[in-house]
Amino acid sequence: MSKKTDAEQIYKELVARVDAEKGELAPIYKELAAKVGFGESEHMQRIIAKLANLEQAKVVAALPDPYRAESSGRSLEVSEEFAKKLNMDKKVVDKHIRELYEKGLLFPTKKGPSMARTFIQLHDAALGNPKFDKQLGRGYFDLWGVIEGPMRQPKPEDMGQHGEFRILPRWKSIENVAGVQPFEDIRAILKSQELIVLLHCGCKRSHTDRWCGVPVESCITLGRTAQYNLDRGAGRKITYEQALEVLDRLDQYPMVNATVNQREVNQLVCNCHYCCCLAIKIAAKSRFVAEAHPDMCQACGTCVERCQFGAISMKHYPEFGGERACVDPELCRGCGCCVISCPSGARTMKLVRPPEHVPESVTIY
Amino acid sequence: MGLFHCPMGAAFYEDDDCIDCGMCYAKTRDEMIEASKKIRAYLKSHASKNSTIKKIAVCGKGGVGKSTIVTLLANVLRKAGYSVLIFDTDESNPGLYRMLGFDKQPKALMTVLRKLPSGKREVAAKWLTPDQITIADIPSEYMLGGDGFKFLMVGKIKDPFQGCACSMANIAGDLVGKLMVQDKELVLIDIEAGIESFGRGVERNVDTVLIVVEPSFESMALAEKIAYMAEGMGISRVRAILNKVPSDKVKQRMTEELDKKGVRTLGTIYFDPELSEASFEGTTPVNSRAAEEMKAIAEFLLGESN
Repeated sequence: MSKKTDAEQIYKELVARVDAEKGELAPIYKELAAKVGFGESEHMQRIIAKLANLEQAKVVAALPDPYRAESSGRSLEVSEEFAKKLNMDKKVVDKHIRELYEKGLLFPTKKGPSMARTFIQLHDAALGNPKFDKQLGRGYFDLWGVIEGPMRQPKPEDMGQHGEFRILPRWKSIENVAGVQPFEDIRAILKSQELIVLLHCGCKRSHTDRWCGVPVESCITLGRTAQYNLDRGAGRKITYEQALEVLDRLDQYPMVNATVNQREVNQLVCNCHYCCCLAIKIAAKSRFVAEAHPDMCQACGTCVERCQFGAISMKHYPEFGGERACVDPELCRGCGCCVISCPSGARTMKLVRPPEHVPESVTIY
Repeated sequence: MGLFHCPMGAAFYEDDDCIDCGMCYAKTRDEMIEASKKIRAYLKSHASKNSTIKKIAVCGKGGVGKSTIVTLLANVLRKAGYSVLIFDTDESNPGLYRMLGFDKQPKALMTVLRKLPSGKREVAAKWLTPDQITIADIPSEYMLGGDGFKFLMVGKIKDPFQGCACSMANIAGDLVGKLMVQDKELVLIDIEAGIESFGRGVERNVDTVLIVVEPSFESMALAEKIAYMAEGMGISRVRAILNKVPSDKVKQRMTEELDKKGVRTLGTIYFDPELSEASFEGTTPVNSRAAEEMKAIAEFLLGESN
């Protein structure tokens, strides 16, 4: 069975499992789902229903607080008036807001607490805090999986074409390559950070049936994103050295580093896997391609298995009298996974694209 | 683009660094294009808040006369009473020290890198470790001191198996960032040809980029690219110096072309046979017409400094 049919079959079973638990929902959840552009999605309504009970949903629907003084600044603070209108005790309202903030449904904005505005905002936040896993249950993650399923199978024309995300080579694969720039050297990126927080990856958590077995705690968030997660009790603070240890540990899995496609990286460094990540398939190539050296290749096939993009195949080399690994430079995204995993060192990275390949700021044409 | 993917580094919509570019809630490709334009415009308008001129990088296509311009500019600035530190980060061309009038080279900065048995390199010098370094902190063995000049060089690639030039660029970028430049001090950095050094971090820490442009299509095209990249890094003061210009007519055309590309021209050095003759000998004449022209350029430039 090919990977594709596998994925399709697993997805069908997931949808059946999720739909079996279908039940009546209050109309308020439709209203809330519409706020992230998924008003018609019964699954999104159920996700929000898992995050917020009916009383909490009423609080969220009434936000942003119209009575709040503008001078309050960016915070989770709401006015007494707001609680009164809802016929609730202010303390109870505050408790609800705090819980929903930690869960990732509410955010502290200049207008006070506000609900997530987009699907991806909700996705990244509401899947990142394991504190509530027991309360939310497996069904919650399955619901996300149903919505994300089609996104995990992008159209062929979208593959590698989007400018928002780019592959970062695993740092060990380019350690000895000339011309490496700081924006593609993970060590340089991490070193310039004041705060690094290791988070549980939302993409992997929402794919409960994933077959890759890669560790979930693999999302390295930076800067304000790291601070946000720390503030709501998600993730753990790590040092630069610890971050390198995490990367070291993840080197043994077929994981691809990726980040936002711009020079200054101050959001996150992903460790993605093909089967569960939403972004990796559409991410732009790095400036490198992998090269196979047939004279050193032992034809073990590790790299064929490792490559997430189907860029490596075994080819018959008459001069060596047998099969050797061969890289298709068109398909290779330059992640370096095969380079660090080759047991015979028969692989190196080659710089093939100019520095302008990585734009100063995210540029979409 | 999601919550954790904000190009501005905000954690979510309406977070402190949010500029409401719309990238996170863009649904169509067109909306995303619009958002990416907003980001670029924002970066451009907020570039280089600190407008004092302290660290100047001189760059351009190979052979346009970067080292000559650096020498001329350094001489003019010295005469204007500045103590000028010239930092040669060009890893290939060896002649700048001679043009400046020194008869020997200082110890290359890259010798602070020690190759470990594992093959990795580490910085072995203590003076390079603090976050801030003044010019006086640089040991004299690395710095030639002259009459108002100080000269540092990162090192040249001599040995084909020496390895990557990036470690040199890293040290250079690091040092430029750490240098505390005091009043009446200026740092002039001679950048290697082309744009590879951009993004390596050498320019990240400068406040002014001077692009030397000669009358050639390639050189003009590269100027546009350099300006674009420098602005993206937050350096707003990017100016062109025209070099080897044969006539007023050519100057006019070059200025117009550069204007179209969004690069402001600071001044012109006309083609000067005396200069060519001197550069054949590896020197730069101090009392030439070019030196006079450079004086006007320097006055213009310093006039922009606060």
